[in-house]
Amino acid sequence: MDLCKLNKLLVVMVFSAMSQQTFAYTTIKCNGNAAKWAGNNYTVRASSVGFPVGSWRDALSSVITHWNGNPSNLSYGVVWDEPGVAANNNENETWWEANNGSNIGTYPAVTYTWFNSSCNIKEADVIFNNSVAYHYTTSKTSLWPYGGASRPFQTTAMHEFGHAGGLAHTANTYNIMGQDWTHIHANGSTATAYSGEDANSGLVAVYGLWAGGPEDLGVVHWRYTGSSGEYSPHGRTRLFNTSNVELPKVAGTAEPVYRVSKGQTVKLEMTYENMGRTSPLTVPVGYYVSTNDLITTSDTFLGEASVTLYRGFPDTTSNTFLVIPTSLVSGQTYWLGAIIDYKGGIAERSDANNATYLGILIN
Amino acid sequence: MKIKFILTTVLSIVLVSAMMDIRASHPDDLGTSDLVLKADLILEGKVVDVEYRSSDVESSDQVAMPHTFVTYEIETNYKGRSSEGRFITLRFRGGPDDQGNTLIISGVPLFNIGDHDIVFVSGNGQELSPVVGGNHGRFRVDNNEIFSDSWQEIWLLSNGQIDHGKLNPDKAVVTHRIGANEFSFETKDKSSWKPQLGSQRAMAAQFRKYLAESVRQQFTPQVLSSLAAARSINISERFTVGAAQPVAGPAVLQVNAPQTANSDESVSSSGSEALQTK
Repeated sequence: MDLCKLNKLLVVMVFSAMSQQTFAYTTIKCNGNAAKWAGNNYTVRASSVGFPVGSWRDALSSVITHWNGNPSNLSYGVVWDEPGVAANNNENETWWEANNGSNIGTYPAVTYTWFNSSCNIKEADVIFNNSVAYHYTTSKTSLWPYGGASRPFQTTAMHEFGHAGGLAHTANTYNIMGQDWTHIHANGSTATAYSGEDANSGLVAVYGLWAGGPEDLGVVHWRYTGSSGEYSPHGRTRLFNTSNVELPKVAGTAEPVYRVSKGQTVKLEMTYENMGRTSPLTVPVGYYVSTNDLITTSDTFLGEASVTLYRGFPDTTSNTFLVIPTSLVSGQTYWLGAIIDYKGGIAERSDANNATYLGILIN
Repeated sequence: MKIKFILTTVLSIVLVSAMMDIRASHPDDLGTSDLVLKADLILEGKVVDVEYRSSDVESSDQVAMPHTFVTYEIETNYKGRSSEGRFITLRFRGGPDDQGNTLIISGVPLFNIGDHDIVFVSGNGQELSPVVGGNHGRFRVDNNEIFSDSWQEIWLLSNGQIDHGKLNPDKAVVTHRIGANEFSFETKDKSSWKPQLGSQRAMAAQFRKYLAESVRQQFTPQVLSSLAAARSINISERFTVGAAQPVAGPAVLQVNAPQTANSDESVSSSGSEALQTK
């Protein structure tokens, strides 16, 4: 690939996400004060029956670990092998119940949040329904949002432990407190649950900013598509032509694949998030084309843009112009990719969520 | 004609909306029926009483669980009827207990005296929330406007789907008195929602017509008259809640997964996890 020639063809607009000091999360107040954990800590005791050593425990552990890295002063922890669980026993616990169990009813998952007379949260129990087709895996092809048969347990758990932190449902932006299983990051074969910018902002609003907290940037191929009751549904990001018309998609694919032509200028829509301590952050985003859905800096570089991200609500934009390289092969599928902070200038808690993709088929 | 089309399709609107959202903190048994079909009773009325009582403990395997008893004075029955005629008392999990604590459950709606609602009722006395879909089957009437449980506008799309629009700006803070405490849910609305092309805002009158027509379309008068009355709950009626019975997680097929944890976040799965100190 002649990158010098290719880069001359690129038109990548620099954009600045305009989300200054805005947010969409829902928090709870009790008698006028923030309803929260008095000690800025939530430690849950996981049932020995439901979370023995093994995959379900690993999945839950991953969720708790992730929440603990949120940029607020609220810390999360977990204690394993809880022998007995009960609601309103002054212990935070998590367990599975059979469908129509005494606490779960027919809900797929539920959080019982108990407030004491001082209006602090005194207990939050998270219960999961074991008749739901959950899977602990992060293998995306097994999961609903990528055409699989299973509901991702980790996204639902991420949602419920957001409740445990004091967050309510949110319907007006892309966020984990809306539809959980479409709030997920994927690159390559891995789809990973995460708390996201809006929920993190909500916790910062309630518990204050963790001065020593980590930075965390991310880019995902999901976006807010509207609201449904208390929940925000999410859909995949899109590819447009320069007239802002969504390009045609290949029929029958588990994930969207757009038909494009060599040399065509397209607008790539992605959602960019600043989930960490510092707001705003201005970072470069590298754009790539790849022969597979795992986007890395080893793929073919198309150009870069600069984004300024405030920790508020996620920024979904299609204001990114890319030229499809003429060197690509007709009839083959490729993946356009975005890597935020692709030069690695920001030290983050995780770089695993810095890249994602969108499929294209070359006419 | 167009209006008629919209009215006759709003039923499927609610249905599709319910079927597509198998949510956390939300009942998910919505795939086999729609809200109208599942509802024992669809009523419009006003909340005239909110009371609290914990479940009875008759044996050691039962627990005292706070519940909220919400009584509606019914103005209109769109489907079914109440066993108490013009009134019905619905029982919801959650509320204050005897120790000064308050239980709030995600996805279970909250009520104030005076609320004017259209409610799809099912399983009163059996479900955590007798509103179909947790809180999805509750619509708020405010003068001539109609909103969701969380005070979002209801919009009808040209394709027969429903969209929930902007948050009612007067309800950015929704306050509920629960026992001795006042809980406020504060939403910061970024107001980026825009109606889709061809959609129109549903007003209360339009929504009522839709309901009536939808029920007429799906149920003959004979079927409607034969429906069993939805049971109104007497607050003094004894009821129990069993103690938690934890079970194992679902049995699933092993997947050749990349990993089950975030790739570069350290995870421990033994003992307790003393995570990063803040």
